[in-house]
Order: sequence, then C-alpha cells, then structure tokens
Amino acid sequence: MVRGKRAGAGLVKLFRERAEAAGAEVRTSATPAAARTAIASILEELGAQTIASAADAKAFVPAKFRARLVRGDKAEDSASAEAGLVLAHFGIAETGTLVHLDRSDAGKNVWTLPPVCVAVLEACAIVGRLEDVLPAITKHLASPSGFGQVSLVTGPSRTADIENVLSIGVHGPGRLVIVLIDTIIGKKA
Amino acid sequence: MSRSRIDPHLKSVLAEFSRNYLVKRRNALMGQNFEELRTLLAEMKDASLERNAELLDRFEAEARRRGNEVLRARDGDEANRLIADVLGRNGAAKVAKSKSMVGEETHLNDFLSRRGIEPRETDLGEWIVQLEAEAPTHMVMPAIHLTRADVARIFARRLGRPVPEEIPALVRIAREELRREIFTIAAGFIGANALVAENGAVILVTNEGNGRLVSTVPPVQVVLASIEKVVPTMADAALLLRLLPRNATGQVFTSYVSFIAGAGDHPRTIILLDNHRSEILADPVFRQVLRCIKCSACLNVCPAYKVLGGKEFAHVYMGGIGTLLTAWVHGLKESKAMAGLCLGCHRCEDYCAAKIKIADLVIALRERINEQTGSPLWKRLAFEGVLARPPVHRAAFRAARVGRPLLSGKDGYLRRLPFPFRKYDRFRAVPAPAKKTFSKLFNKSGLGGDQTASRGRITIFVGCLVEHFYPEIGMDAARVLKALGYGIDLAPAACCGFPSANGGFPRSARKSYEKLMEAIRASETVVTLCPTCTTMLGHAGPDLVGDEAAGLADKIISFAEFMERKEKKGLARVLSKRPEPNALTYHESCHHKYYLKAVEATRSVLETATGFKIKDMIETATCCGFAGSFSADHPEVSEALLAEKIEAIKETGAGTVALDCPGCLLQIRGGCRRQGLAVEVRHTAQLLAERLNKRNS
Repeated sequence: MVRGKRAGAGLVKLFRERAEAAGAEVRTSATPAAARTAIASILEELGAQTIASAADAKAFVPAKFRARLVRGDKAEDSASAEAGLVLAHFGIAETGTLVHLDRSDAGKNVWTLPPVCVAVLEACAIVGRLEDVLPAITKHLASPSGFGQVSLVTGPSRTADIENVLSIGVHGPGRLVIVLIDTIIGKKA
Repeated sequence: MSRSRIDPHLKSVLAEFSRNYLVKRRNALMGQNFEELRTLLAEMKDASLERNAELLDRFEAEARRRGNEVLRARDGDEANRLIADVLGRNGAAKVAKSKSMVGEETHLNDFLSRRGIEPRETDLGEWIVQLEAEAPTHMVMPAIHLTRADVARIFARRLGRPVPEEIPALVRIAREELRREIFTIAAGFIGANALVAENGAVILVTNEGNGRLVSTVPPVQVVLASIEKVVPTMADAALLLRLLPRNATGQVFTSYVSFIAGAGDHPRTIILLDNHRSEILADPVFRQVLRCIKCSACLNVCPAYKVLGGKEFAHVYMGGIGTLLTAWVHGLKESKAMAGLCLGCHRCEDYCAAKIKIADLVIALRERINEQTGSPLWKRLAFEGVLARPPVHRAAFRAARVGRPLLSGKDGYLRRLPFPFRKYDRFRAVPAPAKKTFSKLFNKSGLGGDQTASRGRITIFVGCLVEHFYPEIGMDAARVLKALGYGIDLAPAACCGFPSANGGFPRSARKSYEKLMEAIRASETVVTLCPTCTTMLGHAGPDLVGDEAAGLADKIISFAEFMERKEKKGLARVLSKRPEPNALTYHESCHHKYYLKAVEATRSVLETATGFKIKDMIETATCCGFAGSFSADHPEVSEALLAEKIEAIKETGAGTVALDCPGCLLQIRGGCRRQGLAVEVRHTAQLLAERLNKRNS
C-alpha cells in the first residue's frame, strides 16, 4: 500500500461527511486492534454466520470469525456470506470514495456480492481529490503482468430506476460500513 | 399528429424529475467551476478526436498487451456478428448485459435472440423495459416512463405470482432474480464510459453495481465501445469523471467506477465500433457531436423531451443530441421527425458537459434533411416565396389587414378556427394583424426626424411581430428612446431571416439577412425588440454568411441590454419611479436568456427603473411553447408547455408578466386570454414607457 503524508484533520472530516452523504456509515477507531474490535461488533450485530474476505484484509478479521471465513475466489461463496470484509487502499475526501487496487476477481467479488460491505480505511490514506491518487491508480493499471483493475466505490449500491425514487442495495451491498483507523483522533480521545 | 402523443402521467413524472435534477445538480456542482471544467472537457475531447485513429491504435496495443482481444467493427451488424461469434465460440447460451446505449444502437438484443443467444439485461431499468419488450426512453433512466404499478405488473408476469406495488420490494426482486441467474451465465457484456489509450483501460460507471457483477462473475467477457470514447490519459479520464456524475444525475460521484485494463482471470474481447462516426469526425461542422459523454443533461432540461418523453422524441437515441447522432448512425431520414421536435430554445447548450452547440447543430441538420429528403411545400412557400421577398411579405400582411374585419372580432383576436384547425388556437387566442403597421404609425407620429438629438441617433429594428401585430410595443420603445434624447431611424420592415434559417432554408435566410444588413450596416447602434431577431442579426446571421469580421454583435443590441448598459441613469431621469402594489413576474425568453445572455439586464432594468419587485415563477427559463413555426408543427407540445407556463404564472399571483420577446407575448397573452386569466403581459419596453414622466410622455 502506498502511503502519503497523513491526511489533515480537515480532509478526514470532509471524507467522512461526503461518504456519509453518499449513504456509507463511518466508524472511527484509534488503532488497528480497536478496528478489529469494532469490526467484530459490526459482524455480531449482523449476526453474521460467514464472512467473505480477500487476502489483503486478512489482518482485520476478528479472531472469532476466522473459522467462519470464506475466500472470495468463488463468486457463489462471496454471495452467500453475510458480509464482506475489505481493505481500501485510499480514500478520496472530495467524493467520500474508497479506492481499491484490484489484484484478483476474488477481491472484486468480496466488495460487490455480500449484502454488507465492511471496508477498513486508514486515515493516512485519505487524499483530497481523485487527481491526487491518479499516479497510484495509473501505476497499478500500467503493469501488463498484473491484474490491472481498479475499483472506486462510493456509498452502497443504489438505483433510482423506478419512478426516480432512490433505493439502496439493488445489485451490490445495501450497506457500506467504513471502519476508519485514525490514530490522531485516537490520541485525542 | 394526434394529441395522444402526450402521456399526462409521463409528463408529470418528467416534470418532477427535471425539477429534482436541477436541484441535485446545483448541489453536486457546488465548489466546482462548471464553465471552466466543461471548457477543459470540450478541449480535451476535441484534441482526442483530432487524433482518434492514433489513440485507438494505442488503446488497442495496450489492451492487447494486457491480455485482451481487440476487434474493430465498421457498423452495427458487424459488431453484433463479432459479439455473437465470441459468445458462440465460448458456448454461451445467455449473456448478462450491463446497460449500453451503443448496444441499443446496434440492436444487439434482437440480433442475439435471432442467433439463439438470450440477452439478459441487468440494469434495473433496462431489465424492466426488456421484460416489457420496449426500448429505453432515457439514456440514464431507461424505464422513467413506467410507474411502480407498471413494474409490479411486469414482474408479476415474469414470476407468475402477485408482486406488491412497492419500490423496495420490486428492487429486492430484481436483486434476487439476477443473483439466481448470474452464477450460471457464461458471458458478461458491458459498454464503456471511456477508453484510456495510455493503458488500455475500459472505464465503467454504474450506480447499481450490476456492471461490477457482469464484468467479474461470468467467465467470458465482452466490451462494446464506440470509437469516440477513447481519451489519451488517465488525467483526461479523471476530468471526464469530475463532470459526468455531477452533470448526469446530480451525484458528486457514482457508486461504482471500474477501471478495467488487465484481462484478469477471464478472456476479454473489446469491440470498437465505428458505425459512421468516422464520417462525423471528418465533418468540420458536426464533429463536436462526438464530444458527447452521454450524461443526458440535455434531455433532463429539454422542454420538448419533458412533455413528450423518450418514446416520442427518440429513434434509439433521444432528444437534441440524439437527433444529431441518429442522423449518422441510423440515417438522415430517421432523424427527420426528431429534428422537428427541437424547439431551438438552446437551453441544453447551457447544460451540456462538452459545450456542444446542440440546437445550432439541429438547425444545420435541418438544412441537410431538407436538401436530401425534401421539405414540406408550405414551408418552402413560406420561407422562400414570402419571407425572403419583402414585397411579397408586405403584400401578404396588407391582404390580412384588409381582411381584418372578416377574420377578427372586436377584441383584436382572430375568430375561432373551425374544425380541423381547432388544435391551433384551442389553447391560445391568435391576434389579428394590427390595423396599422408600426412603420406607418411611427412615420405619422413625428417621433423620428429629430436632427438635433442630444444623445445621437439610433436605429430601431422591431421585427415582424411588432411591425404587424404589436406596433404599440414599437411606439413605446421609440417614446422611451426619444425621451432619453435619441434621434430615431427606422430599419426596414423586413424579415431578419431567422425563421428560414431555423427551418433549414439557409439560402432564403441569407437573402433576407444580407438585404436587411445592407440597410442597417452603417448605423452605429441598432436597438431591437425581439431577441430572436437579435440572435439572427448579431450571431446566427454573421455565422451563416461568414461575416464574423463585421463585429455586428456589439452594435446590435436588445432594448433591455441597451438600457442596462447605456441608460440606467437616463432612465432614472425620465421615468417616474413609483412603488408598484401588484407583483410582477418575469418570463425569461429562450433566445434572450440562452443566446443573448441578457435576462439579468432586463431584471436589473425592471427592478431599478420601474419599482417593481420581480416575483419569480418556477421554471421561468423554460420555453413557453411558441418557438415560431414549432407551435404550428406541434400544437399539442406548444399547448402543454404553455399550460405549464400559465400554471407557473398563476402560482406567483402576479398581475403582470414581463418579457422581452413578442413571440412569447403572443403565446402567453393568447393563452391567458383563452383561460380568462386577468394578467397583463407586457414587453419590457411597454413597462418602461408606462412610467415616462408627464413631461416626457
């Protein structure tokens, strides 16, 4: 994961506002360990029996869910999980967007198929605008040998196709919960 | 054309949609400089189109390097065949599709069905219209014409069980049904919002996430993209993404944006479709059509689309931009009816993300349509036989004045038209020609001929409607100018050429325009009372004859703008400002707003000079439905737009409607009269003249 300078408090605040405006839920944790605890409680609230996770979010799987983990390789498995646990590589403050440098279809499945998507984002990975993260995206897409795909996800799946009324969760997750690891806020608290 | 072309339910859905869209869009563009961004986008797209062939080669090479297959298709049939071949080769009996307007353009679903391959639309709206065996009626909202009850009925038929008429339940069904099928479907098909040359990436933008499902789950992948989608770099793509969601749906960003460069775990075939786009590229006038990023903003603000919807105002593509695309990808003939539905209000041009001169281009297209497919006899007669020949034109009106007692009642309006012409005046009383023309009244009045005018001389050009129907507006304008100290010269009472140009008869337009310009070229300032004439004389006419060097736009100026720029102090001197007890509302005439950008001038003049406080009506900048010959070609659309305008006027409770265009005045005043609505409809010049001091009037 590419890390820039830690995002200023202003950016983190803006990210949070914009993500929430797009329909995402944002929970802040001070440390990775606290994030794991927060994730555990989110999954417990859901009563999740199985969760799907790709390799890059492995470190955030709460201990008690390790036995109930499916990997995303098989789309059906991801689809049958109650939640997907993923790691976002960047956040874009201006639009409340999560950026994932896809490395396999499995990763994309976990982001897309379960009804709830729990995404971990470190505050230091928040940038201001899409343009600020373009070098990393471009680099990821450049390699002819790599998987070469990138996903930008903003809020849950939505449609307004019937009578222009907004509905959530049509084909992708109906809930997007962002667990934001923000060490500075953690210290203040 | 029958009245049933307008579906009242759809009309109200679209009206609400358009209003919501404007609010959401404004919020989404907060903090963005739309003008600057769209200028950059237009420049970027122009530069990309300039080197389209080179960029396509680069895209192809980069996409291949990453394991994709890239094929080129000359036309829709070839694209369909290539797609069917890929699917057939991989044994796919069914293909899951993400929404693609280009797939609609090639009629891919029909083609695949005939080949025994079942297309399965996954975008909710697109799936609904597929189940109903219809075509999308909006580029972003395919099923906007259907209600939740319609959708419940369609789903019930599909599932063979009753379905609740509730949107969340319907959305859940769409999810469950796709989930049931998607894991067994061998192939996925997507369109592309952009192609990036530098890395061979396909960019896919969806809100529902169906694009992600379709582009990830099925083992075989097909992409269909038209050639103008290619942009050089990721930075260019980022610019496009900054505008697309904001302008399309009023979202700051779309839920899912995928960059798909590497083939990943699946073989992927990308088909690049030309389908006559190379011809558009080679056309210096129409090339800018290919800047379009399919945001649909033009549809969302189009008054005619709002009334008719995307079944009537469409071939496959909809609205004004759709008319232009249709002319090439489906043929000039197919675009003919659509070209007639453009009001020429130019509103879309203010909203276009790529600064495409949509309405101007539709006018240019009408010319080609007339040349190549013929034009109605009555129009040829009107434009070439009458308007372009001032003596014939004058004689026609003279005859009408002679026949006036027969034609009109005492109130100055024409008698009701008999069946089958009722549709033309049912909604709007039509004025009879005035007893005396403006020229005649003016020449008799002694308002001209003052050689010692303190403020110099000014030429006034009133336009046909004032000359023949509303001479009092011309007289009022002259009185105000005279009071301000100007000596007044009259421009000849001839047609400016706009109606011909607008109808696609550039030869007669040029003739009228040049003749008139000859007469007024020497004038220092020409004040006009009709924004449409002003548009013609200052902008469209010079473009038509390649007369840009003349700098005419600066000296031909609407009455309101002239007052705002030159005579604010003067007006304060000659007008008595009195507090107005009645509220006044202001109708923004299309050419005055979207072409001349002059409505702020009127607002400022009205508020500072008259003491009126303007109470805005909703959608004040939406066409009243007159639009010249449009109201004769499409009376039912004209009627619907006028009804909305009058409703908006009523809601303000204003006793007076101000406006700057005699055409709008004819329409709105005639409509109010039919409805028995006691509202004064006045030209800005009249409102000023009413307030001339005693000693000046």
